[in-house]
Amino acid sequence: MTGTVGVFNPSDPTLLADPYPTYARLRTDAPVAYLPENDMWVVSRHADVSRVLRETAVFSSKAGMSPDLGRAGGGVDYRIGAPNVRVLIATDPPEHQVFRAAVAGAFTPRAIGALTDRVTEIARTQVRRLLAHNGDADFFSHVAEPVPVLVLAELLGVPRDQLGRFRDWSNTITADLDQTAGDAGIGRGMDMFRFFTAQLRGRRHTGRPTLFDGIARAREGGVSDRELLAFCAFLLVAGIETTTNLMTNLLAALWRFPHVERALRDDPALVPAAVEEGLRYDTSVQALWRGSTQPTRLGDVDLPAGARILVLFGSANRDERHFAEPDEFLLTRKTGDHLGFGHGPHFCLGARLARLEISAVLTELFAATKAIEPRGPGERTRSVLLRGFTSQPVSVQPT
Amino acid sequence: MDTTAQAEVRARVQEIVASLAPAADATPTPDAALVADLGYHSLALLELAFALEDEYGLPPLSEEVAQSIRTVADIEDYVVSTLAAR
Repeated sequence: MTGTVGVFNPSDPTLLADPYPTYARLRTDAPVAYLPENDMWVVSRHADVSRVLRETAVFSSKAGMSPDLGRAGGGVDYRIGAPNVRVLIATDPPEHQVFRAAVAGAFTPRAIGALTDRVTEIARTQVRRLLAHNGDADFFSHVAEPVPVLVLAELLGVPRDQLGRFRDWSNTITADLDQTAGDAGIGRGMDMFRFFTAQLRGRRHTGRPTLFDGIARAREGGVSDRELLAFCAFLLVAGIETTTNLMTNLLAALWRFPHVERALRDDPALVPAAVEEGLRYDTSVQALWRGSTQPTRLGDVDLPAGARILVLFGSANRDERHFAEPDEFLLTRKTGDHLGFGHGPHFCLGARLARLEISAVLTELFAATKAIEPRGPGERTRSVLLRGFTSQPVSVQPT
Repeated sequence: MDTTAQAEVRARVQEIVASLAPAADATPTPDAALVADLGYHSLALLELAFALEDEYGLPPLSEEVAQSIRTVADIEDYVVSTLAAR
């Protein structure tokens, strides 16, 4: 069965507000749906999504990533937009492992464990800032947006006097770089790339090792200087907006399920379970791209070689074939196989760090407040791929 | 800077722009657009900035100026005026 036109309309505002009813229809009526306007397939069931993510020889990541749906007949380029510059997320095994191994050391349980105190301190400071702004407090701008920026700056050893610039860079990079900006845009990000270049050449601001040491070592594995820079920029894309979105989505979920928030306030030991269920219930990376390398059959659908495929993690996570009561937020759920961090060789490298950051924020938020409530509607991101909030006014009752 | 020296700088800048242009068949005439005609992207522009800074001992090209650059002539003008100002 091929999908019906109109069942998934990326420019429909109701899809951005709440994609889950659309996903449910897709899973039932057209689990591998073809969208002729975009010349792409949309995959929505947990089993199919998992298979696509596992079979990297058939479903390649080289199609890249893009925040929008691209054009019919066009490719989807990684947003650095430099040809022949490989980026971790847009490589396949075996070269994928070269990139991954270069930075994996920074994300081991031990390395992340060592960051716990610092992450807690950053979360506490930002929660205090939120309380200090009570009246015009915004969970996005006071907590969810700065915490991942400050944590990544810590990992990269960005000196304190450059934190402001680092935040600006992360905003620049999460907007488009040159790919869509045409002639005007290629100078954007120059200061950031200059900073990265200096760091990769060993001009350290601190004596201690940073993530840059590991990245620079990837040269030995055949990673070019341009690719090293693109990777640094990619870290900002992968490590900041995604985590910010997860925090805002989780808070919105807790407002929808107040008994869950009460349970967490009664027993903070449940916070990690809530983070995991939040990743399933409303994840930030709703979808990513793959491209078929050969004709293949997925579900009941024959795909040609070169098919552009959008895999819907967000839909797979609500698949009633896989999860009981998928639309409920259950702290008791065993969600080991949700796809909030993906699956297979590209499983999110920063998953452990993201969990730590979100847990720290929730724990600090509950410790410092008796209640946190919306002070008006939040504003949703406008992307089918990256789901979160760009503002969430709140009022808090301090403890 | 006299006209001859200026012309020399402009010719040398064009050479550097051509040597670092991602497009294989790049012809760096003054009105050639960096992106559309020469295939420049943000990383190649950074390399160009480094090359010009090394060649002429220029201060780091600011992001603001970098964003205003569209054509080869824009780069020539920037180098010539920066050199003239010292």
